[in-house]
Amino acid sequence: MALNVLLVDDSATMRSMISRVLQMTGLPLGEIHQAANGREGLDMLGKHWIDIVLLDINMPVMSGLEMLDEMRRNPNHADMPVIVVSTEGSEKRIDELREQGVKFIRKPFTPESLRDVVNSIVGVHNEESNENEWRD
Amino acid sequence: MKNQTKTNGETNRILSEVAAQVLEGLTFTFVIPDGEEHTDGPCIGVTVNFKGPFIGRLVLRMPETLPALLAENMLAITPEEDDSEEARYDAARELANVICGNLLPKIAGAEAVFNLQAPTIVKDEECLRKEISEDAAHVRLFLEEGWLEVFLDVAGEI
Repeated sequence: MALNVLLVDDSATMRSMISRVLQMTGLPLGEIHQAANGREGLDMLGKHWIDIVLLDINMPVMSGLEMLDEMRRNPNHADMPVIVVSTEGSEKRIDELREQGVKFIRKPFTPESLRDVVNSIVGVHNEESNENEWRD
Repeated sequence: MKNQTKTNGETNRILSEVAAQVLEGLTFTFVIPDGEEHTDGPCIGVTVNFKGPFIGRLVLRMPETLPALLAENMLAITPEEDDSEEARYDAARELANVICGNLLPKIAGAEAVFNLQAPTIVKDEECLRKEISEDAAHVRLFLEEGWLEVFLDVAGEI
């Protein structure tokens, strides 16, 4: 199954870098959607089928943390896998994100670190899907 | 802005290390340890204001030609493909954002929480000078093509 990805970052350069790295990972990618802030990101979630969100924190209009809060309150998006890709350096804030089930990658990242984190989520997701199929 | 650091030498060492690591990891640009001084041509700056346990501003100053190189490296494009001023400035803004985000925990500790404002480009040299106080911590890094100055201006004690 192809993964549809949503990249949310106010830097077009960073979105382009992440998109390029994702395409180098060998993951089965579907559509890669992009948004420049949390508000645009939420709009994208309403319009497209998204499997995984890669989210920056510091953005104008609506921050990544605000977008994450909105997602977790919406039953349609509450369990969606999210990877925060940010310069965030505070262990306190990173721990808070992890408590919400979010994976974290600090900028600058290597292609391998991004691939490994996405793979860890996709792997877990596949296991859960298989388990559900078995139960059905 | 008044800058009171633990020691300026220690802050400058951290500035230098973090900027070099980010340049390498984000823009694939390497610092030359013993680069040569040369006359500055036209320059631009990028500023990032932040608030947290202390407030302040990170300022990058660079030759106006450097953002094009940053964009080419970050986007893996050729100079012929790079015809967008916005792409060049976006690369410079992202460099400032990532340096600032990586720098603050090294100075304030891993538990400190900071909020960074969106980086802004300063094209005018006179305006850029006004953004930097005389007592800001400061390093100048020599790159394969060009140079980068990093200023950390903090209000109060770190």
